[in-house]
Amino acid sequence: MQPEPYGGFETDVCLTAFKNRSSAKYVELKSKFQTDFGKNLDDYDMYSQVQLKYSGDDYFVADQLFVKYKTDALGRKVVDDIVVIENKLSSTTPLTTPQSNAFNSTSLTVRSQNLPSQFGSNQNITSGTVLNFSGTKQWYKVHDGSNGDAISGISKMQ
Amino acid sequence: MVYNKADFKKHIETLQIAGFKIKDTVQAFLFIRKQHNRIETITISYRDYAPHGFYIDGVSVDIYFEEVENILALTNEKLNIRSRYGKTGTIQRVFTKLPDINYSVFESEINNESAFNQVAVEVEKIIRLGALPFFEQFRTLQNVIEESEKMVLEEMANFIGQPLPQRRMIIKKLCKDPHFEEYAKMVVDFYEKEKDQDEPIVRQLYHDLKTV
Repeated sequence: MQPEPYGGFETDVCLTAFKNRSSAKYVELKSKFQTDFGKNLDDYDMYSQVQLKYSGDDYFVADQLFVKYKTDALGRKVVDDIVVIENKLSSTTPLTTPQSNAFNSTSLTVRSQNLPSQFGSNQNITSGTVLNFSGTKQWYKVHDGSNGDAISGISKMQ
Repeated sequence: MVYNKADFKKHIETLQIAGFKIKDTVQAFLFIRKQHNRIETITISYRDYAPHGFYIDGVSVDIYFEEVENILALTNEKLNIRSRYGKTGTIQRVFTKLPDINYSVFESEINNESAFNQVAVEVEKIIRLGALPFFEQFRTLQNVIEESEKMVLEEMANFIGQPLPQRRMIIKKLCKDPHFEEYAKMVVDFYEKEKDQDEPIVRQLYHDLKTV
């Protein structure tokens, strides 16, 4: 089994690509998301290295987490939808045990204290926030094929 | 080179902010100052790639007005409800667009003292130009309501901690806003009409506020 990618692939490659809405890889992810789920990724904020509880105090780390908010007529803002991105060194690298458990869970709650949006908006996500998703798993694996210096594939996880 | 959490913490502790005590929590260091009616918090968020290094993601602030939060907590307790909105103060701000800040330094990995110092300069500027003036501006709930009621709803939704309608109801009541009754009834009616899961909370809160 290959080791988990450390900060280099996650930050220098994946995060750098996805926080730029004009980058080729962001556009590719956006296109896949549109095809797979009929939704627009531009409507989402993005957070990096988010700790998410899936059962009691058990948690995993989402390498990138796209979050769409919904604000009602009274200004109440709730999380309306999420997309989880996991960064792996190859297409065959499996999820870790916590990631697999989280993938099968029906509810996720933020463990990280307070993270700002990577898009530089004035949004932040705070501990205790319950993340709603409409029952559909919207997870993608982003992987390299060799040494972690470029994204070579983006695939929907099922 | 190895740079772990202890190294990072030691460097963060060199950020001296007069009157604030530091607290280490999940992916953030909090600088907390207790005032007589409120708790002021500066949050420095980070990403952890130890033993390679760390990235500071940003600086945000919040003010926890006890008179507001105690009422909200009591209402939730009566209904045995656990909030799904996340921990937040009564009001908050994220400093992502302050002028004169070189935000590009936050793209740099911190893996030694020199790298930390480069980022620390901008963190200290955000604290000096953003955080401390925010605390100075919002010392009372009257300061809060005077500012928040001038905001458009989208702006207010990022300023007042969520759930906004509940906190706004409380602030209006405590500040003797002449429009409190009208607003509170409108909130209750809205959630009743929507058959919203928060309807029992706002109804209970409206009831509780009658005796405040």
